[in-house]
Amino acid sequence: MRVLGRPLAEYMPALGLLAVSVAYLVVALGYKPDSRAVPVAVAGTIIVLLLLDLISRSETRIGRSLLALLNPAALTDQKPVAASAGRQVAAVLWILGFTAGLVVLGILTAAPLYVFAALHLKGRRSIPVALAAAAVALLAMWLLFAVALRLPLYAGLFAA
Amino acid sequence: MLDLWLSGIQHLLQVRELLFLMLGMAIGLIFGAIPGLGGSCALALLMPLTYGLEPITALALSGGVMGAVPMGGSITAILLNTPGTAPNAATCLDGYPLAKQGKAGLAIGAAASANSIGGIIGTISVLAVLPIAKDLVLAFGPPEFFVLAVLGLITVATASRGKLMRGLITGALGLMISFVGYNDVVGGERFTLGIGYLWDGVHLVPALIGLFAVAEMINLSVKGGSVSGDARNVEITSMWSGVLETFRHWPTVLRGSLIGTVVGAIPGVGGVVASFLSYSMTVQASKNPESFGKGNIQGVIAPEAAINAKDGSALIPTLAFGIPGGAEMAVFLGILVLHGLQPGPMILTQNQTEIYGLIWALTASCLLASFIGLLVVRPLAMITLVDSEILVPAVICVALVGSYAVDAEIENVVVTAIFGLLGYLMIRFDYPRLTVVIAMVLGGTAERNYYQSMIMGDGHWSIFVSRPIAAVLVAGIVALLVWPALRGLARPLTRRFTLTRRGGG
Repeated sequence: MRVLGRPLAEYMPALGLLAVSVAYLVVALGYKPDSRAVPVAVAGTIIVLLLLDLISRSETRIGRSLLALLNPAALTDQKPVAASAGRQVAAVLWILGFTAGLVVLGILTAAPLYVFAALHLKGRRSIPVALAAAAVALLAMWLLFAVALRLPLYAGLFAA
Repeated sequence: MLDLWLSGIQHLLQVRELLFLMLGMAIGLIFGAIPGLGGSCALALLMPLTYGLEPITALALSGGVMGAVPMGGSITAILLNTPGTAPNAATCLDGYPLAKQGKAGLAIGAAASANSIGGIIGTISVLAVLPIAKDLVLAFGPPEFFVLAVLGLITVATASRGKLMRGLITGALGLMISFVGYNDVVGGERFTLGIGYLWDGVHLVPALIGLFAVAEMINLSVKGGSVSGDARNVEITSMWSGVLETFRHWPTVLRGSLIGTVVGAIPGVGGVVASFLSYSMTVQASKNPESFGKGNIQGVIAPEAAINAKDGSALIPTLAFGIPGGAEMAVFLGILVLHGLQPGPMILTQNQTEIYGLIWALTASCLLASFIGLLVVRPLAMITLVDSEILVPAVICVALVGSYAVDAEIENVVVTAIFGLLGYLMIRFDYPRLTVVIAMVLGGTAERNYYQSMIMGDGHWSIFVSRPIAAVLVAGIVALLVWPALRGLARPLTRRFTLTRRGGG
């Protein structure tokens, strides 16, 4: 689907941020006058800037002029080669999975599990190699954080 | 004055003090290199251990830590795009692209030498300024601090050449993030969504680890391969060329060091502003600004010189007023108090030997850490050849657990992951990340000083232009905002004029 000569996807980052900014402004307006003064000014500014950004992304005369004036790099910079959506989603899911693992299982369980899974399932290393790496990660974490820094390592949601 | 400087050196040149200095330097290098730890964490952990030491020995240890942390942080910033400490985030911008081109040695060599020179210039500045420090700091009131914060933000936005609009958008986003938490000026919490952790605001270090380390690891994971791509690209022998590059770009070193010195002396502003401002000013001054962010060696030299120069001058408000310049100085303040050294104007007259000993310890540690950084650069540069399938899990593990280690809060890990995703989206859709960082740092300071200025000026905005220093800074903001637009408008006219002349000739 194209909007004003450009694919809708090209407007999505600015539209997403615009939605967040409008929600932020609505929340800010609920605070006391003193407390909301600066956040409202900043939210108002970003909304104006995002509207300009949206216009500048369109294939219109005003859009091209705005882009040339305020964001000329977009006219000359090489667009990054788009990676496959699958690879991007997978890369993000690994991070989110590890984060969830740390919160639920705790550091000393999740960290070696993540290292083992990432090396064996994603990196296609053999089970002994992945296990050895996981053991090294566990030992390094424990020695550095628990022994050397005397940091109470988070033990997960189910810890007593 | 000279005899006081010599007395400081003399007290430091004792076997025990030198040993503690070396120990501090080693700890500083290690803590600086591990994301999420940094100088404040190292000093906080060492604080109880210094209790039985003589004040000068404790200060030698602290100086050793503080002088070496920036070098440790720059090594990981260059090799892994993972800033060991927050100010090193600016080094990532060109250091990591250099590592990707196989020039990690060049970048680390330049960082080490810029660190040393910056440290020396910082020391000279603090020695010169310490006697007149009081007048300098008192010249800045809330209106000046507010306008300086806005100027810093806009300078960084305009430094993203050709991306002014997107730079301002991400700057505003950073400000919005910085307003999350308890408002200590007018009271009440804002934008916390009922989450207790957010009462302290979005923690800066976990957010920085996400924006730079995690985002880049997602990017590397998507692309595959290794950081430098090709083993044949890694020319570690270029390390000494990096040192020479620093001397070749001496105006950049001098500018960075001066920015670091000035910014460091302003309480509450800190190293992140110094390094990013130095980077931005270097981009502004360059004849080839589009080469920044793609591996320009000046993009490494400028922030590194500023970071170490800042360390010296940050002592000025800490010692003279007991106002710490940042988290590291706040912890250091605790060490001073623990040893019976009460910060304030009197410390400059009553504890001169200790103070000058500390300044020399800071300088010596900075020089030694840079030298050791150069010695270990070869094995460290090989990290850039490691396959992403191995490197990504290792860095992600250290980054997320390091983020937890900042203040032992598991919520930090979630913040790091969220900012990692945000950072990746910003890379993917070409939005500059610098302005988010600088706005997150300056947001709180700017808002606090805005309220105070409004009270001072009875609610009138004229307070920002009626004071000479503030007025000059406002003029700087206007110039920065208007100049790119004027240049954009003038470009077609110039082109038309040139074509007409050519046609006529």
